[in-house]
Amino acid sequence: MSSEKNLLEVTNLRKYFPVKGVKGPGVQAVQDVSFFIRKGETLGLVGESGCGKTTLGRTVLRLYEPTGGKIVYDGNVLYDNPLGEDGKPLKKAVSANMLPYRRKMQIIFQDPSASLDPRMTVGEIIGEAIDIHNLAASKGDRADMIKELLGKVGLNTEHANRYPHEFSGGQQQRVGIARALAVKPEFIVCDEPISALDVSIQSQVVNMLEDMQQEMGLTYLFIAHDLSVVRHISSRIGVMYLGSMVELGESYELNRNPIHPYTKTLLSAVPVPDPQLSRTRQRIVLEGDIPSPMNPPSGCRFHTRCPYAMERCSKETPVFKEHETGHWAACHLLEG
Amino acid sequence: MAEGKDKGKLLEVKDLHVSFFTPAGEVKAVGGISYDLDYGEVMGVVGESGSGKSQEAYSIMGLLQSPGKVVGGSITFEGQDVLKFSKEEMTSFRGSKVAMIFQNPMTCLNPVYTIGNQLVEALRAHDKEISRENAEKRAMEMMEMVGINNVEKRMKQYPHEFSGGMRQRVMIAMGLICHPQLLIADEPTTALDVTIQAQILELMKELQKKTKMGIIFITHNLGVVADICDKVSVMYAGKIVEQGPVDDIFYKAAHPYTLGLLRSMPRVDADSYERLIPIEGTPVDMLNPPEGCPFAPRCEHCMKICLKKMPPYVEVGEKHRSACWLRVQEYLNQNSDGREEDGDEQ
Repeated sequence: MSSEKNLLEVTNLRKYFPVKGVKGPGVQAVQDVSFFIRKGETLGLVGESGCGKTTLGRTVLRLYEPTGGKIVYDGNVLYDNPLGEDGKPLKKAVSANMLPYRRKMQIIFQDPSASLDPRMTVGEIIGEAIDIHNLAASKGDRADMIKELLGKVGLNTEHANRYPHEFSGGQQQRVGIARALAVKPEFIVCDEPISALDVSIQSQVVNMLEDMQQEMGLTYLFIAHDLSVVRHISSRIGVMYLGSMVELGESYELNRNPIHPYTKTLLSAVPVPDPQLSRTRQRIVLEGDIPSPMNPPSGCRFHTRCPYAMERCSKETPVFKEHETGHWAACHLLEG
Repeated sequence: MAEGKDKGKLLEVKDLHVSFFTPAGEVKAVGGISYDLDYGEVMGVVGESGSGKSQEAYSIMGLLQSPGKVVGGSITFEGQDVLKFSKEEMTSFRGSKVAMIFQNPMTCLNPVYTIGNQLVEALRAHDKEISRENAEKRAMEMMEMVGINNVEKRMKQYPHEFSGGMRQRVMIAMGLICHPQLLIADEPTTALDVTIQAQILELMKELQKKTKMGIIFITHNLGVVADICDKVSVMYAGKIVEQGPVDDIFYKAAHPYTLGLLRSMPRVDADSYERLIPIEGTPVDMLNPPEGCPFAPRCEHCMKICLKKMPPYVEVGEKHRSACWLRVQEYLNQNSDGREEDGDEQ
């Protein structure tokens, strides 16, 4: 991986949540995930609920403290704690003071009503971010900034004096986006920003996110479970299953030519709004449910549900590596 | 399996009005919808939240909650007027003739009873004669039918020991245990992951073929509709704006709202990037609905008349109708040309 144009580089990132009264590492939410994001691109993350995509997004921002691995942002090490085979740290962990980076790295949450303080007006919510980072020279300047932000996300200036409950879900999400943009960030983690919205509103917000990216040169980590939306907005997509990244590639390449069995299943399971196509389409239906991340299967974590599982899959963890240029996957089948 | 009849009308809804009398005023959640459903037919009801798609289904089941009320119209099921049922008649109708499954199975299952217990209870509530052993046997058969393994062990487990997909299977088993003619599925796959959603959809299709029951499938996901439905009703602000066979709705959509929905969704099988075309504006405030066509304020083709009067339905194809002034205009133009009205093909 060349570090020249990469805004974010993540290596073997791991996040475990200890569980009280249970021996062992607890919930293994993110297991040794590596990827990078280029400046100005959108990396999509898909996977089913509980696969660790949200945890990954938050750990990258260090809203959750990582268990191990390395995060480099724009050439600066945010966190470095390499782990050995046995999961013990190899050396003393390095972790940077995050405050200066908070200005550059922001997040938009899934549930807009839960992520806005109900007792603050929209103006106060957006203004708070400006105050924390001392971005406004004067009161008038601050008010102008808030007005400009509201206009940018398609709200009216008089909306600044209203409370979150006075808005519809789509408008609340716009406030959430305005808040994230208030500090003029470079990188935004969009954590399921549209799944709580109505169908007709979703496309409005998707278009707005695309416009913002163009205008401000933003880089996105776009997390969603809806593959069609992720495919639409992302230049590259990472597919996660039970805490591990199983495949990563250019968005259209991944769609045309998925190489990991899980990605194939996921693609075939997405319902297509085309009746004739869905009558003829072959759908791969997986047996069973996702195993618990408390006690994940040995070897390849997908082997319990994989239609092509071999003996080797339950013993050895497949290595996540580049099979074609820019197309990464972790599967024993690909190694022949 | 008690098979349903194959032909004829199973359900007929005529000009149904449902209102909620709230302190802030009357909310006309369902404003005069009509449709019918044949035996063994699968109808999709698509719409956004607040479009009245669930309330319409609840009124068939007599499950409308206060302050909601059916204020007009009729619901006829196998020739009987459902709205005139007494409380007892409704109780026996519900479950034995019509069953319902919901979006969130956890809230529908009682956490302190075993799954087996709840299935048996559902059966014995409607079949007073059946012995406990027979009921248990039937419950186990149903669980096998919906694809649950280890039935004997599973019968003794509690809802929290089941995953989301498995709970939805239990709900389907419970719904079908009395062999209803009609299953109302209210967003049954919305809370599930795509791979689990695929499992449940396959299961429902298979069971539908086997039992020949009618299904009303309520969802906001057009992909799911394309997959499972024979015909579709598109609802907006308490009204059915378009209704027709599934292929017509997807390939010959005649209402701007339907078209808008189809255009605004990214497709997973698209070959290249295309910018989405959203429907501008926000959904209708049901307390103060606009006059005329409810979609008019968001419609790109909005004309003067749209803001004043609700358009009538125009047949735009076989069993395909749409409520839009544009179609009314086309219809009038066609007829003034002296041509026969032969379905609208463009």
